[in-house]
Order: sequence, then structure tokens, then C-alpha cells
Amino acid sequence: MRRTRFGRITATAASAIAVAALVGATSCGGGKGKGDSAGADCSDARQFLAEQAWGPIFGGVCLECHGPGGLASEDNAKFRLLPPEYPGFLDANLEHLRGFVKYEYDGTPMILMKPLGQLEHGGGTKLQDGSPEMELLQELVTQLQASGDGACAPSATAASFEDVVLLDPVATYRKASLHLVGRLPNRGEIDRLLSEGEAALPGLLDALMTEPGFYDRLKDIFNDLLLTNRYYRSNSVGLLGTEEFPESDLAWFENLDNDTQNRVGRAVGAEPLDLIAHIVRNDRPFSEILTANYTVMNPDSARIYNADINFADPNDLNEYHEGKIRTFANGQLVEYPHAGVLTSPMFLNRFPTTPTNRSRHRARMVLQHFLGTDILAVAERPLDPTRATAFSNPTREDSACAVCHSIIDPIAGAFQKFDENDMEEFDPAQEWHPEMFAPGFKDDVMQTTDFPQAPSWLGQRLAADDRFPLATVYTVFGALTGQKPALFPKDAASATFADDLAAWQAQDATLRAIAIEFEAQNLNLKTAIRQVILSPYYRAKNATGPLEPGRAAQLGNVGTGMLSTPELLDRKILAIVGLKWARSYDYNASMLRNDYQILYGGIDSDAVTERLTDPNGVMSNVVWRMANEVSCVSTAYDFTKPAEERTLFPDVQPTDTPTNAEDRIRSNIKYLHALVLGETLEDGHPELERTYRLFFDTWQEGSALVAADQEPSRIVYSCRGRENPITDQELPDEVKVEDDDDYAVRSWMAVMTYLLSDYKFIYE
Amino acid sequence: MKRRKFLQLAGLSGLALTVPTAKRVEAQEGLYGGPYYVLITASGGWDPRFMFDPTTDAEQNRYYAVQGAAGAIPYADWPIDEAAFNIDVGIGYSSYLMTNGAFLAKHGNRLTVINGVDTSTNNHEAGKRTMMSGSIPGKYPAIGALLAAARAPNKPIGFISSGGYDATAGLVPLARVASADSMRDLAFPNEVDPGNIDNTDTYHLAQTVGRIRGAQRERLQALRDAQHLPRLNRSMGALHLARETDSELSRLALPADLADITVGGQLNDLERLMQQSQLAVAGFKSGLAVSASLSLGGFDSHANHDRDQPRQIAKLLYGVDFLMTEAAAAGIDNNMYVVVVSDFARGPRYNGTNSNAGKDHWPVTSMFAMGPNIPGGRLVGATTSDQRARFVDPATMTPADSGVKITPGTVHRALRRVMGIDGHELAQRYPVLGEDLPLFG
Repeated sequence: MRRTRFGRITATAASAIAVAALVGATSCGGGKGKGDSAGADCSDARQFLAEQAWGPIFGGVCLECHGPGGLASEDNAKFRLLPPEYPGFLDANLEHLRGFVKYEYDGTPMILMKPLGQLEHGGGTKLQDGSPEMELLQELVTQLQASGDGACAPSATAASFEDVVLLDPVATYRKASLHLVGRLPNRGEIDRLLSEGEAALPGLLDALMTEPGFYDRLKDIFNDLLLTNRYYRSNSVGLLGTEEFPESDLAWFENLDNDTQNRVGRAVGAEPLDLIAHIVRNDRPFSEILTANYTVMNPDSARIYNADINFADPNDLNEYHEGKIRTFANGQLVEYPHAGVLTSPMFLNRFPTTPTNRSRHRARMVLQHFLGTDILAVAERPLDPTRATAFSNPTREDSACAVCHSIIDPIAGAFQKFDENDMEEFDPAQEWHPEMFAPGFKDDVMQTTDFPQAPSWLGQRLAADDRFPLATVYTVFGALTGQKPALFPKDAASATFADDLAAWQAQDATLRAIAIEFEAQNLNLKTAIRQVILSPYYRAKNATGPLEPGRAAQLGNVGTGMLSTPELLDRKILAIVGLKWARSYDYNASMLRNDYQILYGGIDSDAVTERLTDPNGVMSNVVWRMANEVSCVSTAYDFTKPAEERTLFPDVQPTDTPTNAEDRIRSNIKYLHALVLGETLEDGHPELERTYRLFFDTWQEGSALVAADQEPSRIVYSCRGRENPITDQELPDEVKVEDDDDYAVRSWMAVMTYLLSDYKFIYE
Repeated sequence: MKRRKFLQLAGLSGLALTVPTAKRVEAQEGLYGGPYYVLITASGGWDPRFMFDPTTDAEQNRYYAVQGAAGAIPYADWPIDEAAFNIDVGIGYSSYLMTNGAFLAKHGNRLTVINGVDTSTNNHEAGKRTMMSGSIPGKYPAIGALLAAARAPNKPIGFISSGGYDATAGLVPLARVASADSMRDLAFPNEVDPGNIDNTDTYHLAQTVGRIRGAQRERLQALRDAQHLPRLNRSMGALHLARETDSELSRLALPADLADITVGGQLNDLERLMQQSQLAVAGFKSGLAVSASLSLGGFDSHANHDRDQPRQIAKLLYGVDFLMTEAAAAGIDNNMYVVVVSDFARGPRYNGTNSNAGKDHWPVTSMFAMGPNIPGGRLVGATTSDQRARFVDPATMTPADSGVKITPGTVHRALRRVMGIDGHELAQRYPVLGEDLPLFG
């Protein structure tokens, strides 16, 4: 049995819970960890801690001193607590409490005596004997004592989705395929899903994650964290010091034309994301993003980084190899202290420092990105401004400052050999600041002999930290569902506390189960992605009926409904329509990745780094413009092809009208609903009727206007089927579609605009 | 001629290019007519000692020797010095920078400055949040979002943001606005080439557009009616809301050219602030926007404080002046509130003895505001010699040995009151703690 960071729970048990959550089963363990009777009692204690004891006692009274950086922690008190901002805080605290209740004095657990001011308690009297809080504490201690030593399995009842309707396997796979690789499922995949059902999904999802398109999406996901695409062009090379990286300053580079310089710049700028893709592609433990003693380079970046790599084809820019950056320090060639992305020159520049900041900002981002811990949220408490001036070194001596600095300053020490003015400049001789907290991580102090390899030392510990798997799952969850994981509700007095807690517990149980599976599968990121896709948070499409307010609150963050990012929508258009939404004069210039990237809620990794998740009036008009332009460029063009080669209109001809081909029109509408929206509708369905009515009314009105010479029979110039939109090559006259005497082509354009602007097209 | 080429030429020739008149949709009722609100964050934590709470105490100020005063408002009197600011000298940057004295000379008579605001935090995120919402805990909406929701919740770009604390709490959508070129295409999505007056092609007949939108509306409603999961229902509602008023975007009249500091790249942050100011004013003038959140970074001067703080302050003040100039040109400056805050402050001492020393975070800060109901030439609040917040007499607002402290909560109670939304249901849904002080008279 593999012991995971979450306790002795087998991956199989965790999977069972995840699957139970998937199918909405409530009979899966009922909160009592199957095959682990000790875990059963512990689940009750966990529930009690979350629901009743955390808020009024531990979060409200104890945490200030016993939390990270608190006075009790500074005094090396045995009793430690983690705040809700730490992923997995509840389980970590529960585990700690179970151990701590064993400390007794005259047969009484010390945890029941200290808050009364008995024994030696630095905080004095915090609770009154007989108070409701003491009664809660007593009850918790009783439950903890009864829980034995077994681990706490994620509660299956906490993640109950029996009243939730999921996307079926085909629909789930369509959604995942479009999201992960930007294509529709093929016939073979659909057939397999239809015949094997749910059982086929995991394997097909795994196969998707071997396709090249997946790695584009993967890089987008992690760029949202690292934001290194800010340097995706030639300015990445400009960041590098010319003494440390002399190749960046040599004539070979300076004399390149702009396009080639940009190409080299892209290779250098993409290095940290390429490393992540390489690790995932090769099914390596995802922790290597923090521990790899190498990076990944193509011929361009290898030359800039002076790496000693033999490429099979130095002209093949898609040939990537592991290698080591070779840099100069004080004129001497030195070994670069690789530690995954932590030492990526792009990462170091994207999260820069100064001589007085001393890598603290970088340390904060390390905690946030890789351990899911927002240290600023941990430290949110009122400050007394008069205190700091009483200390000569407030970051260490003033507890109000030390609450953060005791955590981030040691981590900052891992970057001690990197220059504080020139971010990627590595100097083995550089000294650290002795007045700061010593380099280290949590309670582990770095030995001076480890200083030369300080980033690696840190990377190893970050990767081994309990929070790493869960934080990684959080990242995946956010990217796939478009929402951040819910936070533990802190305000126990809130009227919605019980419902908020239930929502959090359901999500927490699901994500913890995924994290356990992720860890059991050697931290293969594909596992985390697959399991999130299989969860109701990705697949739920409705509830079985109206929900009571409390249940609605519990299911508040469950389900599809993610607005596609500009990048996802861009790929979706191409996958479904077969054409990009691109500039009319440059098919390679995607509108959603250029002109409208920011306006449609995307990021530029520089000034705009937060995505918008709800549409506004501007974004709504981006959708209208997209739908109009794409319907314009695709409709008549599709009719220029033989029916069997068409993407959009296989069942009709451009002369088919309701008077001569109603059935064929209805058939094609049904086909389009399936193609564009993923809806499989029965004949006569109201939505098919609505779309047919749109076609009919548009045709009826338009054809009458054409007949009356009030509207030209020719399609507007830019929407005619006269050239290949991809190559700009003019089509043979005999296949051109420029006239529309029957107004059928333009009626189909209306239908395409309608479908491309639909909720189900622009949302996932 | 390609439209973009045409626009480029038009810009060069100084043409005031808006949507071709023939295509412009006539004004209709329902446009928002003010007041307007601009919320500006000096991101990173400014130093009030280098602004309107000056001192010549050498422990707190090694940079300037003289304090000035514009009426009741004191200021740190330092000059524009490109070399000291570490920007290229003599190529025209100084014309984009403004001293405290110059700013007060121009705008002091409409300005209320509040010193000694105790934010109780040294935390960037918490500081921005409390200075823009009045509350550290909880995810309170930024006051810009609250104002937009209270005044005109259904405007397509009611709350524009290009930075700063801009949480909406779901009250209104957050909007980004960009150049005239992109926005024009969006304002007229059914026109093939909206910027080309010679091209009147449309993708669909107007009646067809109405038919598509009608069918779309019916379908979305049907989907919502059948949907029971809150998350999906919420997302459908958000789309419905966005579509309710998106056609109003056609009224957005944007400047043909946005501000361009062509002399070099060292004031790009100011250039962005200026451009966003132009877009905000255009949104206001068009009746589509209620509030805008803007920001300028670069104030987190843990190092090189005496180089970076005055330079960023000079940019900020020029940016605010530019905003007011744009608003005046649009005829709305007298109906526009401007509130300028920072995360917290810096101080009280330097963190080193070298010339490149910085100042670290400090919770007692300042802010300033102007607007229709905000008195000018007014200073309230004060700090002690070691930059702690002084009490004020709650009746007279004069510094006192006892009384109340000015906090973000008291500031926001006063802002809500002077901006007329203190009684609004949404304001009461998000109450801020603190005394009711006559900070703005």
C-alpha cells in the first residue's frame, strides 16, 4: 500500500470515491472509508471540525498565534495550525490535532487545559470553562480520541451528486476533445463511446493527451500562471545579460532579419513552458517542473543558452532536447543550478526582484503557483502602524511582519545566487543577507553547503510538500472549468455557512480524491486532467429537477458553463467550421488571438493578466462580429465544394428552398445543430423548429425582395464563394457561388450566425 | 483602400474620425447622463511624504528641501528632473510629467486631500481592496462597480477597468475597451467594413438581424427555463444581460487616435493611463459608461525610492491632469468624480543609507478626490511627525489629540454619501464600517 500525503488511502479507494461522485452514487461508503474502519470515525471528526469547531475555536481564537508566523509558532510551540488559505488545511490540521490530543497531563489532554490558562500557555486564558466553545472542543477531542490512527478518506457523502445530470460519454468527449486538442471526435471514437460507454472515456482521454494540440493547450494553461509569454518574441533574448550569455550579443544573432530574430526569441521565451510540455509528454512526475536538473531547448534556444546539445537536424526547430544552460560568471564558465522552471531565465525575469525586495516577491509567487498558497491572504489582519518602528529589524522581530516574512524570506533565500539587478545572472560567489530569516523551507533550514544548489534544494522540498499535488489539481481544475476552487467559508456566523460549507466539502472531497489519484500515478499530470474531466464539475449539464435553495447553494459551483477563452474559441471555430476567424488580408492572423484577445477577456501576459469569466457588452459584440464574419466566409464557400466534401451543408444545394426541398433543409439544420452545438435532437424538436423558422422567414422575406428588385441577387462581395479563404486562390468559375437568386445561401448565413452566436457554442 | 490604411492616414492627417455619419445610429433615450466616476490606483504604495503630506525630516525625506502650499494644501516641492528620474534627458519627457505644485496650481481649487488614512494593512492586495471598497475582509465590490450597478446596471460598458481593484461581486460585468479601430468594428457587427464610408455592405438585412437576435433570445430563455443548476443558470443570465444592451455600443464615439508619447518608450505606463482615460471619457460621453477603474504602477519603491517615487508621482499627476483635460473637452469635467488612492503608503524611514535605498510598506496613507459635491482647496486629516495617523475631531475635522481616526471605511462612507448612493440597496448590502465623518464637507 502506498502511503500518500493524505494518509493511508489507496489510489483504488480514492478512485472509487471519484467514480462514485461521477455517477452520483450515494451508496459508496456513506462517509465511512471502505475497508478502513479507523478512517470511518475520523471522517466524523473531520466533519465536526469543519462544521462546528474550526470557526469559533481554531480559526477564531487559536490561529492568530498558532498559525504560520504566529507568536506560538515562533516560540516553537508543538501545537501548530494552518489557515484555510493552505490547500488541504483541514486535513493537515486534523492530522496534527489527532496527534496532539495524545499529549496529556494527569490524564487530561493538554489541549483542553491550555486554552483555560492552565499549564503553561503563552496566550494565557483564551476560553472559559463551561463555555460553548469549550464544549465543542471537548466533543472534538472525544471524537479524535475515538478515531484511532487510520487516515481520513475523502467523504463520498460530501460529494453527492445524485440529483445532477451529466453529459453522456459522447458529449463529454466532444467537450474534452475540443478543449484539449481543438478537434471534434472522429467516427471511430464516437463508435467506441457508443458501444463501450463510460468505460471508454478514460482511455480515449489519455489518447487525446498524446496529440500535438494538447501541448498547445497545456502551455496556455501554465502561461496563465507563469505569464512568460510576455517574452514570446525577440525581447526574450534582450533580457539576457551579454556577459553571462554572450551568444545573445554576437553578430550571428544581431544580423538576423526580424522574422528570424522573432523565431529565436520565441524559442527562448517559450523555454519554461516547453519544459512543462516535455515533462508531461514523457509522463514524468509533474514535480520535475521544480526539480529538473535540465531544461528543454531547440537549436535556436540551445545556441543562445550556449548548451552542449547534438541535434540530429540543427535546422529542425521542432527538435527539442534536454540540456543544461551554460553561463559565465565573472568571466568563468559555471554550472547553472537548474531546478525546473524555478531557474528559468524567463521565470526569473517575469517575477523580478530588487536589492531590497530580495526575491520576496518571487518567493510569494512560488508559493502561490506551486503550492496554491496565497501568502498575502494568510497575512490579512489589521496592522498597528506604531509597532514596526519599535523594531530595528521588523521583518524578523515584529510578529505583524514576521507572519509573512518567516514564510517567504527563507524561500527567497533559494534565489540567493541570482543577481538582484539582473535577474538571470547567476553568480556562485554571491552572498545572502544574514539579517533575514535563514534560507530554508518551513522548519527545514538550508545548510550553507547547500547554498550553491539552493534552487534545487527548494525545488525538492516544494515537490515533496503536501500541498503540491492538490495545488496542481487546483490549477487544472481552474483551467478546465473556468472557476477557482471554492474557499473554505470562514464566517461560521454567516446565514449561508452551512450551505457554503457543504459546497466546499463536496468540491474538496472531489479534488482531494483526484489529488490522491494524481499522486498514486506518479504525479502524471494527465491523470489530474483526466480525473477533473470525469468529475461533475466538468460534466454536469443540469439537475434532475428544481433544487431547494440549500441544495442549489451546495451545487453552486458544479457544472459546465465556462465561457471559452479567446484561445479556446479560436480553436473551436476552426475545428467545427473548418476555417479560422482571421483577418481578411491575413489568414494566419487570428482575430481572437490578436485584434480581440484583450477585448474578449483574454490576457496579454503583461499588463493584462486576469481573464474575464463573464461576458460584457463589448464581448457580446465580439461574438456577433465573429458569428457574422465566420458565417460570411464559410457559407457560400462551403457550397462551392461537392456535397460529400462539405463541412456545413452536406444535405442541401444552394438552390434548395422551402418550396422545393423542405426535408433536405430540415435535415441539414438537424446536422448543423449536432455539428455546431453538439445537440442531438429528434425530428420535430422545438429547437429545430425555431431554426427552421429562422431560415424560412429569412428566405421568404429575402427572396421576395430579390424578386421585387429591392435586394440584389448577388451576395455581398466579401461573402461570395469565389476564392479559397485559406490560400486566397480564386476558384474556377464553374464552382463559384456568387449569385443567390433564391436567397437560400443568405438564409443559411443567417442560420450560421444564429448557431455560432449561441450559448452552447461560446460556452463550454 | 483597406480600411485600416484609411484609418492610419486619417490619424496622421488629424481627422477626427468617428463612425461615418451616414451609418451613425441616432441617439435614443436611455443613455446614462452622469455623474461619472473615475477611480485611479497608484499601484504599489505611494509615498505621501513626497506628495501632499510633506516633511523635511531627513529620516523621512532625503530628496527635497522645500515644502510648498497651495492654499490649505501643503506639498513636497521638488522639480521635474529627468536625470534624477533616470529617464532620457532632453527628448521631451518632461512635458509629460507634472510636479505637485503645478498640479495643485491647476486643480487644487477642486481638490480635497485626506491625509492620515489608516489602512491597517501593509498588504498590497488588501490595501488596494480596502482603499477601493472600504473593506479588507470579504470580496466587496469596488466602489466603481457599486456605482455602476446603482446608477445604470444595464449599460454595455457600465464599469470599465484597465487595472486597480475592480471586483464586481457579480453586480455588473467588467468591461475592457480598446482602440477606436477595434471598437468600431464591434460597435457595428453587421457592417462588413464600418470604417469605410464607401462600403455600405452588411452581412444581413436589418430585419434578419432582428430575427436572429429574437430567435437567439427565445432560445436562451428556453435553455434557462429548463436549467436548474445555478452555475449554468448564472452563465446564461450573464450572456442575456450582456446582450440586452450590446447594440448600444454603436453609440460609442471614440477618438480616432489615442495618446501616443512618441518620444520614446520610457513612459509607456503613462501612455497607457492616458489612453485608458480617453476611452473612459469616450464611454462617459457616449452615455454607455458610469465608472472606470484606472491604474498606474511602479510605486513599490523598496529600492531607489528617491528616483522612482517622484517620477511615478509626476506621471500620475500628469495623467490625472490629462484626464481632466479630456473630460473638459468632452464637457463633462464638472459632472465627473475622480478619486485617487494607493495601496497604502511608504515609510516612515528609508531602509538603507545608500542613495539607492528604498522605503518599505506603511499603512498610514493619503488620498485625494474631486467632483461636483467635493469641496476644493480642502485638507482634512493629518499625520504625526513619525507618520502615524492623527485623530480628528469628528465635528470640525481638525486634528486633535483624541477623536476618531480616518480609515478606508470612514472614507467610503463619506464617498458613498457625497456620491449619493449611501441609501441604495446595494450599498446597504455591502456596508462599510466606520464613523460618518464630514470628510467632504
